Amino acid sequence: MAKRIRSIALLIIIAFAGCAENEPETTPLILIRSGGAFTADGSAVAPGGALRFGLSVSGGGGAITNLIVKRISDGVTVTETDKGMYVSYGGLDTTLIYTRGYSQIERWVFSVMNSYRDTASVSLTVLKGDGSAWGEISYHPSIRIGLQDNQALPHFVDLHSGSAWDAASVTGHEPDVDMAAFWYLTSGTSSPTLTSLRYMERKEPDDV
Amino acid sequence: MKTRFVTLMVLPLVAFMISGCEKEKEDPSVTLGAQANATVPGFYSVSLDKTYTMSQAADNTGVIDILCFYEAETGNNIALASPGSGITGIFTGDDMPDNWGIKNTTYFFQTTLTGTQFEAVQDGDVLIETSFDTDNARRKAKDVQVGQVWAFKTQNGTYGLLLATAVTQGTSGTVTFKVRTK
Repeated sequence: MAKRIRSIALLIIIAFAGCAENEPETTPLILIRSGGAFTADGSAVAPGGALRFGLSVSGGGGAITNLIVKRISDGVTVTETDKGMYVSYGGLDTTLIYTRGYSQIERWVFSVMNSYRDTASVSLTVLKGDGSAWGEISYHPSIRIGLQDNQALPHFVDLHSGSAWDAASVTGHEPDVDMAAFWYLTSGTSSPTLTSLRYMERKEPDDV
Repeated sequence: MKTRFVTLMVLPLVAFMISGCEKEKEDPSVTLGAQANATVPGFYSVSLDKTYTMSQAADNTGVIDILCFYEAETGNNIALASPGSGITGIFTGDDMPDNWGIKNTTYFFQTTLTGTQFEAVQDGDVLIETSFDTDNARRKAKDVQVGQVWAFKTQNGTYGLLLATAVTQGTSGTVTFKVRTK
């Protein structure tokens, strides 16, 4: 009887072992989209310019769970995006926008992981373009403005043109005003301050 | 008695193992024959995932999206097209696509995807749609070669990828491919 029980137990073990579910072999897929709307591999972009990366991702049989974007420039790796998700059907199609830095070469690495912890990566290189996409630098050697009670100097500055106006002459130039100066005491400390008009509008009377 | 016991125990267990174990996932292929192939149908409905002979297709024109033909002189060799592609001088007889009332047009674009990448794609993935380049799509997939992955878009807006897995040249030739659709 004992032999029979052992035989039955052995056969049951064999039966279940034979049906052990293997974890499926999955291979996620990540592709960088091409076309005029996207930054291409090997293209040159001026510092400050927009980088538009189109990504098409398939989980390869598992749900997409993680997308990581890294920028490698001058030997330094910066993780720009590390996004968790659970996309079980339909894959992922997304456009990511970043700003080009100042290094000569930027290598961008895009990695994806699925629910079986299988991963895939793809990369591209963006060269440094001429000039700067930040725009021209406005240089004004000397602008003198006064604090709020100063009757001799203007108070409101247009940082693009370098012009400055007092309360009387600013009429008609309000949209051009970027900066003004004022003075106040904060916890007993003298605080001459540069500010924008929008900020001043939001200050409570007690703060000024 | 012992033999009977063993038999009674083993047979159900074997049956259980065979029926209970998960089957290998099937990844069926489609094979289409060129115009002179008398045994392999040459017309395919993407939406129904079904092949048709030309006479059968002539009775189901509304669902036919892809056909196979061979033309050496133009370099098409074994090629895929659709009833609306305007293929002339290939098919003959009353049932030829030229005479159909409904001629669906499917557009094809050869991708740079590899066979391995294709295998990673799942039905419904948006990647299937983004792989199709509308600006550079053509009405024929010319000279289909093994390992090529073609993106396509059918008349009713279904996007697909097909991986050519076997090609036999000639007017009686065939092309075999796997399909993913969205």
